[in-house]
Amino acid sequence: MDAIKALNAEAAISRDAGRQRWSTIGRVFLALLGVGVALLVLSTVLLILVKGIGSVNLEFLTQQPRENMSKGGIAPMILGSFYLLVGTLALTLPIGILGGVYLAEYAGTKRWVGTLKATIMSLAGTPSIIYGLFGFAVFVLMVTKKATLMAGILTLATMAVPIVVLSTEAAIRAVPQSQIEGSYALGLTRWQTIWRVILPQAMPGILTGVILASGRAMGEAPPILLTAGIFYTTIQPSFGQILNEPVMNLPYHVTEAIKQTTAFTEAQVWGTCLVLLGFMLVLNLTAIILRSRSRRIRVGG
Amino acid sequence: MVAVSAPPIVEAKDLSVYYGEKRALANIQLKVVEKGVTALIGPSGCGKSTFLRCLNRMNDRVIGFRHEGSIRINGKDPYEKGADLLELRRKVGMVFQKPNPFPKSIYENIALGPRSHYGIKGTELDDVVEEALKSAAIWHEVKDRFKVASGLSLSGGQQQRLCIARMLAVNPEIILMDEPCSALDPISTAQIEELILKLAQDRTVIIVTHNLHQAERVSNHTAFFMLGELVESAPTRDIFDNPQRTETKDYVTGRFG
Repeated sequence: MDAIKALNAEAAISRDAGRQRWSTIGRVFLALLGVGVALLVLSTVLLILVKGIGSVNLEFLTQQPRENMSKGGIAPMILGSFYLLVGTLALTLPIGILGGVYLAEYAGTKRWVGTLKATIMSLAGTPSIIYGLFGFAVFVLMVTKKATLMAGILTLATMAVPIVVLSTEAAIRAVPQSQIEGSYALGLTRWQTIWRVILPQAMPGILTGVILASGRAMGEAPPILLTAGIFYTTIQPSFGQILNEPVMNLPYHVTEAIKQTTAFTEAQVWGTCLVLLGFMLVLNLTAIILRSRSRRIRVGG
Repeated sequence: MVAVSAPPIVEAKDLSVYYGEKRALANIQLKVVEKGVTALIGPSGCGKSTFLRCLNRMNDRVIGFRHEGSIRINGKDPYEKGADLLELRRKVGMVFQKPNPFPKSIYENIALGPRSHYGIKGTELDDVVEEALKSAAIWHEVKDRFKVASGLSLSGGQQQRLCIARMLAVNPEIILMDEPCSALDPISTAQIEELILKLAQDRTVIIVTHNLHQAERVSNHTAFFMLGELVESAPTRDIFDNPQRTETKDYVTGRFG
């Protein structure tokens, strides 16, 4: 008997040691992965920063391009990207959030809802060039007849809406049932419950989706290659008129500038990349600040 | 069984409830008279919460829920076609097992209901909020900060009293409580029980509880459920001192449950 006990004890000790070893290996592996990812991001940012910082100055940010684009700045591209962003958000936020509310609170569990959700999910993962071609075929060829800011906004919104729908639905589903029951038990209507109880609590999650969606919409050139982009135009960006005109914008500009290296200097391309990066940073920071503020309201204090 | 003199404010006749194929309640006959506290006791899964949730139609959200038989609240069937669900829930308030204040200020937590039902605002709303906080015996603890402090910044017992205040602000006639103290410490529990007795002076309270001592302390009437059936319903003293059925006796003496 004692021998068996001793054997068991020994086996237990070696089992524990084995577990310990695997746990250590796992921890080291994860740490290495983490450091690897951080290094990758950091080196990308540093590369763009080092190569681009030289050409970024006040003139670069505020001037029109001059002398066949070899001089001056990229102000119209920044403004163009800004217009695309504002227009895209204006369409995406209401449609995406209401769509998510519908899926989470109204659609129920009918079979076609599952199909619809699967479709939206695959739309959220569809390559952006597909959206570019779709936008070209539908918004450009059938509606505006040429590349315009409007067609670009519609295309980008088409791309961004599925992401916002899905994140809104997920955020709403994460609101505890106890909160929803609490609201209904007070005799609030479904709409009041959604508006006053569910949406405020889902807001951080919804904003996360909006960050993702607008990041994707603003950073990608393919969707606007054929729908909104133009390498050079003298039309001054003012929203009312330019809605029916193509716009210069940052990602498209980088794409074109890389191809047409004659007049544009390499430093200017890196500079444009840096500005695009900064643009995204400002966008994300704004959303993160909004998100943490709505979280703070949630937790209280 | 003692004869019921006053007309019942809640009456269930042959009430059966199903969740899909599963029967949760079978042929319940139960009358609750106006004012005072009725306790629903019984082992887990006996259907007492299901019964409670029929009274304000909280079960509507459960997929597969259906009922047979009838319920009358003040003589009206809450499930009849065209019944005003919002008005029902205003008249029949509910307090849940786990305190569920909204992540808003204490003031906003309470203002939500009266604003929606009565459309009041401004100082009138301020008065309603203060009144509700006083009725729920939490006013003195929060009067300095209730406009800014979040409902979630309160302790568990305070949160539950806030939820009671939130419910009182829409002035319900009937109050449903689903194990309101099971997540609370003994001191908070005592405060809530004191509050229940006070509220029951001019409202009807129906409380589900697993705590038999609590049922003894707060209720005038007790209904004992088991396996979806109402085994016995009688004045609380009779249930505990002189149960008519052996199942009841076994349960209240702690032989099972």
